[in-house]
Amino acid sequence: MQPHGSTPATVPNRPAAAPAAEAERRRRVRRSAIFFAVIAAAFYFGFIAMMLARGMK
Amino acid sequence: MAEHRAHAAPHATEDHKPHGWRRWVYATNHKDIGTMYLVFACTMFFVGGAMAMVIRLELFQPGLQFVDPQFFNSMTTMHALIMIFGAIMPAWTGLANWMIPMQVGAPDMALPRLNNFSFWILPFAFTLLLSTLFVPGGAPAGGWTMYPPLVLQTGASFPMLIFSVHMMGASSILGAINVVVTIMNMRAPGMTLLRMPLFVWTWLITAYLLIAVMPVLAGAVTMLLTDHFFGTTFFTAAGGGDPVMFQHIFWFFGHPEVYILILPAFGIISEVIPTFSRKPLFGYEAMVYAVASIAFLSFIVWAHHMFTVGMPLAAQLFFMLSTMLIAIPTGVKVFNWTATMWKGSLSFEPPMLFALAFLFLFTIGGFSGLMLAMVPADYQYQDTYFVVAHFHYVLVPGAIFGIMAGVYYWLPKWTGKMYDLKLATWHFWLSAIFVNVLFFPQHFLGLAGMPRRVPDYAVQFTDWNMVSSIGGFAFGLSQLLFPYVIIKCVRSGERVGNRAWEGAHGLEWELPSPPPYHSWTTPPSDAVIARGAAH
Repeated sequence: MQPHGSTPATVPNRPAAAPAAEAERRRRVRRSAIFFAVIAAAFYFGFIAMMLARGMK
Repeated sequence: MAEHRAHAAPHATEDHKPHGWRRWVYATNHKDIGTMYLVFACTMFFVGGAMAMVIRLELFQPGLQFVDPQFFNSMTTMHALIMIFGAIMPAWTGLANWMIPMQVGAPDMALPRLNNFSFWILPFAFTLLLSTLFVPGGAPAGGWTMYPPLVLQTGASFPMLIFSVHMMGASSILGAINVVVTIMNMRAPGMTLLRMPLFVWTWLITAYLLIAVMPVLAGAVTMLLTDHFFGTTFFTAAGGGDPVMFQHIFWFFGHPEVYILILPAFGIISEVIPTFSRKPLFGYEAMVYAVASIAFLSFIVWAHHMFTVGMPLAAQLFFMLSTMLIAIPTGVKVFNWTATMWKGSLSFEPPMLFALAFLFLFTIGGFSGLMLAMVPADYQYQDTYFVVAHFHYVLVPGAIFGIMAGVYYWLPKWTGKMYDLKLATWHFWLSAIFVNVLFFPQHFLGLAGMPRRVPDYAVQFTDWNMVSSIGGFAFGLSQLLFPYVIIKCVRSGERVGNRAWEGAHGLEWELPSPPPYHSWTTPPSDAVIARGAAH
């Protein structure tokens, strides 16, 4: 039942990403966020449209 | 460490960490937002729990003692909405916010301001929902499933219910988009998909489920709103609409929602069991595929919630068999967790105790789910306390114990301090005993025919209802230990090192405890990632 103490950690890190890579990552983040928002909106409006189409039969 | 500090130290003074109320209102830091989600979820857990106490108090004896039937039905409806959307889902999002960036080697979530917005929607949504208790006609009482035509008879609280559900849905969708975008774009180089911790995997799949099904719920409640206020007849038979169609749409959302509530718990159990067994997780890849299979199957089983509405035999067979298929990947997971412990060097700290209780009790909930999947049996069980027992076994010792396992597992990392293990162990044993006293008798009540959502019942159900209520009060009281343990830890816990648990693996344990304000300002190296991904 003992918690375990400190592990002497070494955290070797990489150098920070280059500005070009960072800009590309920001673009990918923006693009994928918009993509998923469009999918969510499509499900929302799609189900309402499906019900409308069904009601008009 | 020296190199890390060299990066972190100047940053710590320039991290733009705001102070006072601005730190929380304008929060964009994943840890601050995660903390707010967890505090909010804990608050809602006690609000919803208080409503459960009212329910169990009224059901302690047959007859109407304390509340009128309308208020009783409001309590069951609000208890469900608050526990699902206010307690469990925000708790998972809080854990995701805290852990995902640390576990994938990212400095923060991909969309920090969206993260702030996702959180701050919630207090407004639940203030609106709770304020329905004070409007004429009372709070919504038609059940959390909001079935028409009953729900259309709700009074002034109806538009408030719809708007609050919309806000909860918007918050979940935005949170889910943030999680997917973070995992897909912010992983450290070398953190391949199949090196990710299971908690990250389960959250990734959960987020996809959320993006797919929360808009469906939003669409369904929008149609309810237009039926109520704008003369449409989507679900009104008199105008050519179909009330059963609402049930199909609702459960197309509702069944994946069940997995939204439980999949992150699978991830946490997959972190905790290897740590306290001091062994790598057995069958890591099989676990990932099992979670993905469960998520896929969750889309094609929805009508098992509505066998008794009347549907073609072929549909009944399809939904019965597809539901039973879920037992296969779930069995894989239970087998793999058990195999992880096999010949392990086990120890039983509070996270492990909650994980073990999860393993046993969630399996009971799974088995009663299989019973409910059988069409002829379901005709008997439908709308009885057997269903109440089933889903509470899945959600309380399943989802809630999963959350508690996660909080007790990572609390030393978050605070840099160890909590009172003895008190947390007491919390576990009281919870594990009384959750069974509370819910196990409800199986007997349901099999004997006691209907759910009733404030009064026939006298032959009295004994087990008394037992269940006593279990409920004791379970509710024992939960007060949970915030006490956390507060005591924050105030006076003993300092711990980076790796608070001997057997813990993962990038989060490479960071100091508590971690710096920005977790990985520069990505971790391959060696660190490989050491973390010891599965």
